[in-house]
Amino acid sequence: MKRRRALLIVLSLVGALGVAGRYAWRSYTAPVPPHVPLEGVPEEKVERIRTAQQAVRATPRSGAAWGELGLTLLANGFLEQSIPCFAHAHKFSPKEPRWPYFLGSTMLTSGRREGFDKMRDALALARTPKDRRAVLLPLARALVQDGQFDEAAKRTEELRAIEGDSPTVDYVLGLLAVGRNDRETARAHLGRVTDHPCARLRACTLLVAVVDDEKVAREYLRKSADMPMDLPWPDGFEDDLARYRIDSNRGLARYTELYDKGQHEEALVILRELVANSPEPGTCFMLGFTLMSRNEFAEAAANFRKASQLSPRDAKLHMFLSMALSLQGQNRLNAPGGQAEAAQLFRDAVQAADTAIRLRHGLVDAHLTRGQALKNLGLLPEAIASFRQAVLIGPEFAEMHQALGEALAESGQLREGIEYLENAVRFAKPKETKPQQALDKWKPKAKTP
Amino acid sequence: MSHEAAEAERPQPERGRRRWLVIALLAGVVAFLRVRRRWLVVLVIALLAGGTAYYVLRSSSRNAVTEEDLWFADVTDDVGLQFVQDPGDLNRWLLPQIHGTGVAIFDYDGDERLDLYLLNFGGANSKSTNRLYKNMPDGTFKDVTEGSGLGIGGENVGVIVGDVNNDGWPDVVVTQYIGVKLFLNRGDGTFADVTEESGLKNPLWGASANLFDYDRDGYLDLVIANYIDLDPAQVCLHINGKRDYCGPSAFRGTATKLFRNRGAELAQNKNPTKPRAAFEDVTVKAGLAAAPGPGLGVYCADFTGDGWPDIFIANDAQPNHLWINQKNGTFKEEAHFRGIALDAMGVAQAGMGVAIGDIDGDGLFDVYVTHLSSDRNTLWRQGPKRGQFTDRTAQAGLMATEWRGTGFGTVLADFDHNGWPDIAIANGAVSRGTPTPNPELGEHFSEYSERNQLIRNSGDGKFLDVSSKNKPFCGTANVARGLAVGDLDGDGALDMVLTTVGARARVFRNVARNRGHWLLVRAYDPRLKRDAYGAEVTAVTTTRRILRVINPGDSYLCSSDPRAHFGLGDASRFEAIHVLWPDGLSETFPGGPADRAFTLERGKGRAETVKVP
Repeated sequence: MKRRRALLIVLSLVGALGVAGRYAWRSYTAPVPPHVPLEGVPEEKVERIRTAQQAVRATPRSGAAWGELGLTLLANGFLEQSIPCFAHAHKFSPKEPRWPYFLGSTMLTSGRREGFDKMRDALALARTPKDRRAVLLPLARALVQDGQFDEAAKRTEELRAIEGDSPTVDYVLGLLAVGRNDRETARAHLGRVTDHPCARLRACTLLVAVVDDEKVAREYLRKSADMPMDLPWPDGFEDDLARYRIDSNRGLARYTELYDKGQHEEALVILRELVANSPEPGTCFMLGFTLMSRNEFAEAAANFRKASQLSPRDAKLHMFLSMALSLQGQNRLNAPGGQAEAAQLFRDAVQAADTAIRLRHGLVDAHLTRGQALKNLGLLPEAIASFRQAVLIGPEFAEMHQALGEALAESGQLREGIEYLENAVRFAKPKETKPQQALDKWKPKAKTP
Repeated sequence: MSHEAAEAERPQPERGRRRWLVIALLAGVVAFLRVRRRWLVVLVIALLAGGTAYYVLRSSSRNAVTEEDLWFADVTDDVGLQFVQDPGDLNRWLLPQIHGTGVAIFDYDGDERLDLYLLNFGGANSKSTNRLYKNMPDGTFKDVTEGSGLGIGGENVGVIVGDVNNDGWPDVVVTQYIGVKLFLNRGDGTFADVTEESGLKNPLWGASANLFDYDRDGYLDLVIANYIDLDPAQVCLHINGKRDYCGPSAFRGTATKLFRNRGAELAQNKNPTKPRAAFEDVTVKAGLAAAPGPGLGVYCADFTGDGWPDIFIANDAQPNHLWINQKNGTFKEEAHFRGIALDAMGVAQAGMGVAIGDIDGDGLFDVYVTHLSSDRNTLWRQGPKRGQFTDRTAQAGLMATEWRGTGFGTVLADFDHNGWPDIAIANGAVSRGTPTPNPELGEHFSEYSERNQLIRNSGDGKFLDVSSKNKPFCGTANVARGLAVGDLDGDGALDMVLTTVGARARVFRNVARNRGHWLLVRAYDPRLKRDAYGAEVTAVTTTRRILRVINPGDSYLCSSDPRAHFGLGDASRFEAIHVLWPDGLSETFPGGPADRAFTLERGKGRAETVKVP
């Protein structure tokens, strides 16, 4: 009986020691989160990262916890630190395709070719068509870029097997054909996606170089010039990443959201509240800008002034203040008895523009605004000098040439003025008619003896 | 992540195998002490020891630096160059501070040794100035700035050297953050600042510049790649929320400026009070204002083969520009049509430095442009039709480099004299990364440092990365920007000078063993008393024709030795040299023995008729 009890105790002790040993061994060998330099990082981001790190420390063999930490780090600018996290996530959740995918794509972003193998691992693990597509598209693109054309073609065929002859397939086959210098095939595939929102800009710009007809090429180039940036292809994994990104300026984000939805009045209310509660330069500027677009120049100027007081080294704020004052001055000029007030506003506008130029000489609009205010004050030679600076800094802007041309013409220097007005017409955008109107006004006078 | 840490993260199969072998050996020793059949254990131990030794030796021989692989030695201390770049007050976080400054390699005093001119970006509150270093007979560099007229302060960026007044002495143009400076070489070791009287005005952020004769009047015109209209008050944060340098996308790109040299008019002017140099801003007239962009790199050469020089601009995150000379004083932008605006994926990458060279020996020069580390540096090969380019980066093996970096300065030069131009790249990030443990950099710049790269042209259309075997140039992380080449020690091989942000400029001497034969050729036009910028020089051997273009302004913010350097491989003599001079005259000069530097004078060769396409 005693022997049996002793044996039992010994066995229990051995068992307990075994369990403790295993626990100790696992704790000892458990991976720890990578060091993340958080000094200077906004509190919100730090908090989120620390939470994810704590989750990993609590369950250091959880693939999900490591993956979450990796995504949090990647979405908030710690790309290198996210790599070991995804590696651990892959190790502890070996059946989950997301982790080798992020590991691979992050490695490729940082120039490590092992990323291709990780992407291939992810593809092998991806079972659903959605997951396979999420891996196949970026993998095929990366392979094309790397010059691995045969495998890229194979992956594109796999993509075709999932979604048929889709714009995605045409897009990748188009890129592949460009890489292989197969111009005819490139034309065929890219030609099919010139209107697709995720490919149109890139397709059109690539087609410029692969079409043989110069006229058609020029047409593609013209078309691409008016296009917005291509949208990203819908991607299950990458879309996930956006959820982990922490945006610190939520107030303005709310304003932008409302404004973009066309709820301008509600957006303005939000903006006014923001300025009243925490008058930051950015919000004051935004309010001033919004008010100026509604022709409420006095209040706009007040907000630009407030912004420039809060951030006195920001040339742009002084320039906008100058612009608002100048426009307010022009309004007063047309009002009965408003001339003295207008003159003061123009003088203030010149002063604000001078401050802007002192802070940032290359701010072309400050020279233009200054010139216009000087012209309104009747100081034509000084205005011309300002406009000349504007042309020197921004020779590509029709506005600058027009302002200088008109000022020169008004001061009697017609020949030179016409030259600048002709430049203005040359640089004007298709629907910009003012330069032509100014030229039409002054050109006949130049011919008059 | 530091590069060492990055290395540690990567799979190390050799290391793993060795670890298991050591464990097995220990187990063997234990077994030896415990078992009776000791001869068997001894045998096993012997086998394991042999295996370990084999793996260790094989591994170390694989990583060993062979004499052929090592191309450069850092001789900065030996030559006494003590220049430390001043980036100005780092609390400003002003983008041009991290964009760095350039260096010029040129013989300012006519003693036939290449001197150095290094730029500083200290700003108004700094006492630091640009420095001129004279190459002394003993190979050291002596600071001769005082009294030279080149020791200006301010926010200097790039430099280009060329004789703008055709007096036989190389002059200096310095681009600045909001400004430009022109210094005429007086020929007595000093320079005169003639910016004001010359009419040069560039109130923009000037980056790289180039000199070329676009109107073929015999006088070098100036083109400046202007970058962006930066708002210095803009506060930018890294995605992780820390303060960082701004990227270019928030600001408008500015127009590349073209200044016509009015030297021909001045030469006719008998007025004694006439300016010493005169330039006219023809940006609008020439059509360059039609497409502004964030230009950083610029190179001028005849891209289309019509005998008139064109302008290539590497734009940052915008399509590149290729301004084709219309032969009437105007240019047309045709980069898209000629396949050099975007990479093969249709992406406008962050163009910075530009290197030019005929990488495949087809007689047409190709273009290599450096980009961000998240992009890929791109090689555009010219041909089969002249003036048409195709992205051939992947096919040339240039995607498979050992590491990537944010490339700025870059050159295509034949460092090992095998007849094929190799690539050198100066790397350094523009936004925060993980700090690298290089104490010289200090806390601020450690997060921006990266390692440089050297890539060998194998001659079969492929490149091989030899960076890891070239520790002096590539082994230490730095924030490198400018990279210029020239034969500083007169041994016929190209040496390099590297500028870094907030740290020492470095001199790298070419120490490549078993180098092939070489030639160093100055293409000189005696009528103009200067180097023939834009000339195409082709050295002919029994097996090869090797093309070089005379223009010192490739790379980034820098000016290199304008002479054409040829590696000839095994050829101990050359058969002939053809020169297509910028004015269209084609001449052939007789061959001779290799391994020498000489001057070819226009008009002294055998003239040929050239068929202009």
